[in-house]
Amino acid sequence: MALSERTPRTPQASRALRETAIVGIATTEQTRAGGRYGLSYALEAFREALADAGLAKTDIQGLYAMLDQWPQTGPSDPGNFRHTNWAAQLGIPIRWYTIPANSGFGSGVAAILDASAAIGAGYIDTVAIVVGQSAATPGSDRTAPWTSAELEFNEWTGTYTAAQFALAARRHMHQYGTTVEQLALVAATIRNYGHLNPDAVMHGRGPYTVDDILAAPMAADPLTRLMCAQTNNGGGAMVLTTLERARDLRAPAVTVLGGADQFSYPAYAAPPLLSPSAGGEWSRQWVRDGFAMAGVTHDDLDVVELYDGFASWIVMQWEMLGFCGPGEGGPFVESGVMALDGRYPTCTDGGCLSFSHMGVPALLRPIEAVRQLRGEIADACPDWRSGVHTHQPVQCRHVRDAEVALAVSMGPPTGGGQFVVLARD
Amino acid sequence: MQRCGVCGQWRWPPQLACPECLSEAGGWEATGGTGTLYSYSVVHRGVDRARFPGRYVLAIVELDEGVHLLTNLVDCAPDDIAIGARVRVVFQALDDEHTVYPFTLIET
Repeated sequence: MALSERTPRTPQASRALRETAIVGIATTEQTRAGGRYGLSYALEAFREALADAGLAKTDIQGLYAMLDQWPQTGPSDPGNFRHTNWAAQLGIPIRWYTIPANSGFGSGVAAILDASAAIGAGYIDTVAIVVGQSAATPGSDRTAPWTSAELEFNEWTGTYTAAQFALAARRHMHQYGTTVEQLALVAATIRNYGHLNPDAVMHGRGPYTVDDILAAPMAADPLTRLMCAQTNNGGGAMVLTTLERARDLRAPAVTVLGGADQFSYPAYAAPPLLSPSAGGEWSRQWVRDGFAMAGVTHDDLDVVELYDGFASWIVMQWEMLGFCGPGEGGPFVESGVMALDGRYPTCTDGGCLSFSHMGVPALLRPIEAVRQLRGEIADACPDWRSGVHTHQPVQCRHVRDAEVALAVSMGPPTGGGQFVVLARD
Repeated sequence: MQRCGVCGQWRWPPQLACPECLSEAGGWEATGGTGTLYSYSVVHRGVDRARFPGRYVLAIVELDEGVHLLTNLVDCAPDDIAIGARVRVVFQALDDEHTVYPFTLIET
């Protein structure tokens, strides 16, 4: 058929790349309690994110979902029929569907990048990202139930997530002189944000000092339990669409400027060496590419939502993301950059350490970034409900006039992950 | 350990093909069984208290052949352990079919 005889493309199917934006966000209760299905959390978050955006479920064309139960049975589930199960449950046709296969458990930031690519290319206009988790059973004899102990060749060693991060942390201390006090400062800073966040699982548990963190029971040396994320249940959701459409919707649009994604080694199967994660040239090009795509430099960032599964991992992420040189993460955090009055307020909701680590917490990092960019922050300031903040770190976690934010998902201690740069429209 | 039959590269964890030259040739060869401690952690809180009730030492050993592997350090006091220490393998039979490969410090 000659080109001229084909049906003309609709504007939606135009090949011109389109800018994308986040228009709806929601988190459910994040809780140590059990009793709900992962799908229950995900559906609640989905409904609330639609309401936040002022959209109906019939506006959703694409779905990026990560649950620990039906209609998905696990992150390694090949995904047969998940998409049709979802379509049946949500009562809508689904025209674009993907799963975190490219990002392990880190479904949040990768989902934003994938969804933006699909929307930007014109395949679809509007995507929902939903996560839900109900597998946490605090108080049981097992640690985080999503922790992978069943790894061929490694299971016999008693390896698990915290212990692998501990290996990387110990090596970092040996190689670069990083101190346990620096790790403890990371944990105290993030947990003190969570202390002020009424939605955090660990709300009101602080404030914490460096000594408090160091005095906690040891999990895997050098990581004390307060340097490790807790485990809980909960859900979250996000809606993305074109920036053009976003400007007509209820909430202030948050633009997806760009980002990048890279993995290097199998999570937890390969020994966690520093070389791929902290400083190798191979590990840095993707970061430069992502910042170039976003058109920003580190200096433009007002808020940084790193992935704080473990305090030591934060020290390394500053290096991996090019905020400081290899091995300089310890002194970098010691200078106070992560606090509300520091240069890069970090994990301002309390992060995985204190706000929520419900197994698939990666979406919670960009959700907090959006809240900061919108100025919708709940804290201990007397008039926070009216949007009035004191900006005193003892009671406030609102970053003043935040315009550009970085959100990160970093899965395994062997290195790699995703980041996305978001900006107030 | 696996070793590439074309370029001679040692590899761990096992892979179907060589990540250097992508050759599928090669197989398993014995190493010298000695190496250097790359990192370690005294694990106080095991992944599963039923199976790992007490403290144990998780370690990364860099074999003299250049590969790194996840293992345990056994028969040594935590205070004696330091990164860079020389270590050697001590095979331990779990049952008739399975043998594991913890390491211990080489006395100096």
